Amino acid sequence: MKILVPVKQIGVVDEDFELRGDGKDVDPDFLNFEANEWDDYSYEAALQIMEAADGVEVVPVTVGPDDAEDVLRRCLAKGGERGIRVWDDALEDASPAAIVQVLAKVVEKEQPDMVFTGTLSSDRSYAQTGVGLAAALGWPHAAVITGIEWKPGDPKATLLRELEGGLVEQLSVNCPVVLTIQLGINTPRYASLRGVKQAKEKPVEDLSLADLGLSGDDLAAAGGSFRVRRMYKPETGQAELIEGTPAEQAARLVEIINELKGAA
Amino acid sequence: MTLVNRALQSGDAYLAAAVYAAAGAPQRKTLSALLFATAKRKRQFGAAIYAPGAVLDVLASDSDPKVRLRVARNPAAPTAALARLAEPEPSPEMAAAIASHANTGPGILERLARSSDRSVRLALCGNRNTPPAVLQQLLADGDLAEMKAAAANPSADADILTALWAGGDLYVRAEVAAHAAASEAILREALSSGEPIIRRKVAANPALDTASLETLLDDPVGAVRAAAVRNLVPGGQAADELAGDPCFQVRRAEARHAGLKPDVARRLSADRDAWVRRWLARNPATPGDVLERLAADGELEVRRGVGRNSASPAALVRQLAQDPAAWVRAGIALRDDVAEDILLTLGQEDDPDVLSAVGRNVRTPESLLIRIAQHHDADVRRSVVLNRAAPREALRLLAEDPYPLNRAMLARHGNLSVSDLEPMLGDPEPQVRFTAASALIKRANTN
Repeated sequence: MKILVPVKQIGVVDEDFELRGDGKDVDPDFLNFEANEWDDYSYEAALQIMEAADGVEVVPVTVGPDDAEDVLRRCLAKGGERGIRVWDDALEDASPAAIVQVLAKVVEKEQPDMVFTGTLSSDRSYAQTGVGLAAALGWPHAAVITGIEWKPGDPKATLLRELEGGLVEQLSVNCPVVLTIQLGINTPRYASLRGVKQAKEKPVEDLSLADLGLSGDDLAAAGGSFRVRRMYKPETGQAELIEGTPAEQAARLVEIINELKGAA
Repeated sequence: MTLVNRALQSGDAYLAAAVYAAAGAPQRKTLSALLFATAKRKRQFGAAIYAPGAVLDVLASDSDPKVRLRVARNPAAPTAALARLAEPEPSPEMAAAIASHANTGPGILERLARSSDRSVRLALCGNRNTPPAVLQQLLADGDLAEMKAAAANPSADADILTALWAGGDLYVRAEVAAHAAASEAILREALSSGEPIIRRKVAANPALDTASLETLLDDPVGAVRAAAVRNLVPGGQAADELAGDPCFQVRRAEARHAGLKPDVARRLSADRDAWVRRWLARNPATPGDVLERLAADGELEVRRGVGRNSASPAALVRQLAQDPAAWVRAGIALRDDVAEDILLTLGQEDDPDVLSAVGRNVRTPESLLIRIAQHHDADVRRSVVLNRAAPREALRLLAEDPYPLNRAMLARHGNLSVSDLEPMLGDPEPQVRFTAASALIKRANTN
């Protein structure tokens, strides 16, 4: 019984950042790297299932360069015995479709019973990895999950999703399944200091595209439904804090509207 | 091994930052190579509010303008560093950052006043270190935003304020009316102004005399009356009828006033506005019989207010220690004067608010703190770290707390020993290592 949890190292934009020379992304020198918040929740959901039953293995996997190993170690400090990192220079700037191709090969190799991804990553917000992976595998999927009732061996999982207006949707899905996990499904744990030390010794398997039977050409063929044309900061207007009592604020608002209308 | 050597050997930039100020000149050179190895790291320390002044001082001379700009925007930047950043001719962005900085000296601000850049001029008008003569010079051709910023600047003198009163719009005049240095003539004019905002602002002026404030208590606008009540000095005799004022802001202000009269308090205790009763419950001037009534209020925040009130009698405190609402019992557990038996009883609960309050109380016995330090909730455990009297035995249990913030805060605790702090220099979290190293240096300097 195995749960595979794809996790991602995300780039958080620094203040006063600069764009890359080609104008299509932020210069990496102005990014701070950290673990994607959604993945804390998906990994915790997997660990809770592992701890509630015997014989469950949780394996974190990431697609990223050398320093992305940190996010795997961070997961392993909380639980799990091994991780997988896939990287190849051809994966630089890979589209979500290409990442999906890679993860599908990892699933093929590992044969997990479930795959939990975060609903999205906060740096790109494509929210495509989990859904695309299910499509590539031909597995069922359910997105933005806020509750899981499932025990190893159950042919179906009962899931909860939060909808507008405070509604909760309960649904059942056949397993194996890919779930994208929403924030708040649980309270992610912090790794103990002992866990952090032990994680340094846990094995992380480094895989190349060739190890997975893929090539850069395969990724190019996977393409994507879009391409980034440019990235830019839109011009912003100037804000004004309107002070005073409600009557004074309303009076000032009228003044501003008149100024904008050119009537002032 | 010395801390400096440890920083150098480990290659840890956070340790290097913590020890930099304490290092000698030759060591600083080596530490600099570590601290400022990449542009990214320099930008990071330049913006870090925790960065020691000595580190920011070096970064103020960096060749990268982005690094220098971050230092200028860093609230911890020392005066000397800001002076260096202002030389020879700063960019408008840099000049605006220096002009608005609270640590910039008057001489630099005077020089920046030559700038015609609007953001620089606006920042100078709002900086409390800007000398009055410079403000005057800026306002000679100032726009309304600059005038308003200057009117709210504590360094504006009576002459400047008079000029602003004469030349400003309604909002500039409102700021002038609230200024402690405004002239008597301005205050008189403001008191009889037809504009509510002017009267409200003058009602909040700390220099306004009691007689004028009492006149404003009859103002037709509730917000003006409320400002006057808030500004009345303790002992000032507010009119009894304020307790029946139709404006809730007035009644709230009255309920929290230090000069609250017992009769007014009694009338306010039945107020339909829960915030009025809440302020009343927290007011040490509220008489005992009113507190007793409020201790049975249906709003838990009102009952908690009684529990937090330093004037609440011991019997009432004991009664509220058994309140059905945990939030109210937590308020009791925070009291410095609470009886030990109450603390011990509350310490047996499992409610996180109650336990956190017990954990923070300086009177909580060591055995109870040791139990709280092992609670499953990280926020509850942190209460022991926040307890300035927590003994070392309880604190040591938190040295390996899984929550990094708890460890970082723990490193600042004065009751940890040097031998407790030293292992924290190897913590996986940079914030913990930095704080532990800073604490060790502080101790070495005071011994």
